[in-house]
Amino acid sequence: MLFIEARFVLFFAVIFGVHWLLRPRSWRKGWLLLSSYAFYAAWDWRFLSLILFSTATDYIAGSALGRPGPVRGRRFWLTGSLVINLGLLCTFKYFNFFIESGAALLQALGLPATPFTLQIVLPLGISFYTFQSLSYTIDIYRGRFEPVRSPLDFALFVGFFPQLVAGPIVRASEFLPQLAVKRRLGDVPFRACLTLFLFGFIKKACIADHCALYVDPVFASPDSFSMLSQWLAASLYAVQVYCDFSGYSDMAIATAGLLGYRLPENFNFPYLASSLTFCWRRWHMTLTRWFRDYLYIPLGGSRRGRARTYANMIAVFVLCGLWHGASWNYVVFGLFHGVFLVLEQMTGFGRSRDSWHPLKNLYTLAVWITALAIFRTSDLAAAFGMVRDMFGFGHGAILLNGTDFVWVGLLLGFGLVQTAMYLKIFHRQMGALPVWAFSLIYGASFALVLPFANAGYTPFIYFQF
Amino acid sequence: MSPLSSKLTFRTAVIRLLLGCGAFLIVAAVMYSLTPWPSDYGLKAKFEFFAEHKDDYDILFFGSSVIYRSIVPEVIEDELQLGGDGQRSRCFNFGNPGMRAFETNHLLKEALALRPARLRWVVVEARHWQDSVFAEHAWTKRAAHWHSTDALALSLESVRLSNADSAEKISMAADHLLHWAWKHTAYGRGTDIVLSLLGIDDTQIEKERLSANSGYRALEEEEDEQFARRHAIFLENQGKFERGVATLERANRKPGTLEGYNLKALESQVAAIRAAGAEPVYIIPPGPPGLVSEPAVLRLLQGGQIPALFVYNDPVKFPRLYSVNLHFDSNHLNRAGAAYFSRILGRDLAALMSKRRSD
Repeated sequence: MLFIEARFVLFFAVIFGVHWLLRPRSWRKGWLLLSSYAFYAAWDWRFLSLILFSTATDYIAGSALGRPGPVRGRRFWLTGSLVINLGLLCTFKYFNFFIESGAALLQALGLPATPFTLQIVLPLGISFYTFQSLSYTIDIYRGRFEPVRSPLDFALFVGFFPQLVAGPIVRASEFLPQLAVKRRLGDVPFRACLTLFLFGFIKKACIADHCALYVDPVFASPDSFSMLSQWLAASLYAVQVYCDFSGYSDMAIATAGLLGYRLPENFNFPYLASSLTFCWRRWHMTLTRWFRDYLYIPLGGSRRGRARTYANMIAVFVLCGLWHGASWNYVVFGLFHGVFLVLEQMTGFGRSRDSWHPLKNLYTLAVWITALAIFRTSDLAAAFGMVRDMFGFGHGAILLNGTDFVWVGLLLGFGLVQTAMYLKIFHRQMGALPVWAFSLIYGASFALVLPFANAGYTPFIYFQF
Repeated sequence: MSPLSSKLTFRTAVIRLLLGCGAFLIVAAVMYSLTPWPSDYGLKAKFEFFAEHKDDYDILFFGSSVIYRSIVPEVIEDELQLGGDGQRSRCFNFGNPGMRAFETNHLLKEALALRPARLRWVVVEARHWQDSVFAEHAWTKRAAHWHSTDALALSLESVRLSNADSAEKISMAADHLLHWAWKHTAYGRGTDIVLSLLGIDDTQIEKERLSANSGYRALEEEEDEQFARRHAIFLENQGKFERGVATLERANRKPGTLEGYNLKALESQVAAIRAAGAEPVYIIPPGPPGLVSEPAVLRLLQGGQIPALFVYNDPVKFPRLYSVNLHFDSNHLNRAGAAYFSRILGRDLAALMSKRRSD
């Protein structure tokens, strides 16, 4: 069930109505948990057991970690939580990748290898809820958070449907305290939530899904397209992946907001950043802060000299790349980012102020788009081929053809709209309207937007991660 | 995010909701009124061409690709002139690939709503009104397009009559409702609306062709390589085709059942044709077995629910219609086959018209 589907609207209307009408109020959390599991079961009910197992593991581990005791015992519980959560993630997401890569390596060395692979489906959202759940036990271990008593509260923290399948990756300290406070319908920021949902819908259904119409054929056989067409496709893919994911995040935040809960921001206009360093501070912010807090800093961060800092940065970004999927493309994508981030640190470029400058922004986008070409292609050979062609070392045509210019126009239009959004022009206009006018304009806007949605079924890109 | 208001009452919430829904419905209605026919299959050109020339035609043919590829209007017109009162009739073939009963019904009613002044006969391919009629085109603009309110009601009736279990029926009914909502919100049709408002017509070439062929196109004329491949495969598998023809003979002898047949839909179609001042004629063209539910349709004829039915899927009575050299593939006649079939149909229509005149 996607946020942009009519059946989600019906599903949410029921959840919303029952949630706010339910008495006693203490039942609301149970209702939300039940709804969240129903939401997940609509995709595949069998994998609910994984969520339940992960939830139970971290609830027990968290409770044990919260009790005073020897360091060794605490380490045991933390290690248990890490092994079980990351073990599940590795089994479902990376087992085949590591086995096949190992077999390929052995075969390259002339050794016989018959890889044993698992015929398994990647459970939806596993990368997201595993990280979210892990952050809870790590925070308790570090003494930054007290374990939650109610298993219901903890289950809702892991399984809350707006953020269950594709984030934002919420920290326990951000969400669990909200469960202790009474929710009131009058406190719901309806206008902001509804506006955010509409913008998220536009990003996903009207922009991202349409970009795919140009992007998919080019990435299917990049050799058949000119150099500039490949740049255009990679640029449109940058728009697609941003609108797809940030659109999802917007709708998730809005949906949670309508139920009275606040989720953290996940995107802050990354394509207006003045360096790759700042771009990553604005892109999938809840993931980058997870890697910063739970991997980069424990590795030593920037406290152990320059060489170690750079090595840490590269390691973190390789793992960040791998988080996206079990493929060498993602590893190279992460490595590519890691190298550029290190270069920015070495030159001081990434440490300057994040103020918009056309040349800096152009550089940032060029690196980002090149990395996305690696990210989107089917395998490494295709990735290197495409990057070679994009930088003029291929043998194909160079120029765009006639209809490509329509897409260039749309790309420029997207840039303008992004700038207007950054300046909060639309939000300000919507915020200044009287309530009756907002209701009218909102209803009319949705009716105007629907015809411009792409009618085909296109799941969110980040569902595959 | 700041709260909208801490004094939100049930009454104000309902008023705001109604305002929003009202605005949504008004704008959706405007967008819907601006939505053209989808152009990704052949009906837009056919419908618009017919709308421009509606008063030229007195006989219309509706149905699937079997009708589209089997009925040559020019040949029918010749036969009617020879066998009738000497007056020249004009025929238009509205057949379209993949068009089943509900889509045919929608197109037919849209065409009748144009009030073609000379229309006298409407020839419709007799098909079963199944609940799963749109499975192969589900979630396409095409499937959404025929989901008018009338089509929705008839589809839901078919779902009710189907043998499916309750859960499946609910799912099918929900699918029909969503297609209906898709159509009425013009979902995904924005580009078509803009192109239409700008006067950009991507069906011009097709319309020029229609003025010459009145809706018929031989499969041999298709430029796409897939058609040539399909023909080659047919020629390589003649034995399979002949075995299929033998099963058709057996299928025709089977007693018919009207269980699950949506009689309401058929009655509504007959009534709509008659209300437009025309006479309905149903035909079962020389198609493959399995696509038509002929025994059921024959029972409808015997019960007087179908005014006139011509049955051609009978290899015993019409052996030439099942000869390999008159077929392009197992389902469709080639150009020579279509001309031969059109002559037979033309004669039968002429006889029917003479009979009606004498009555």
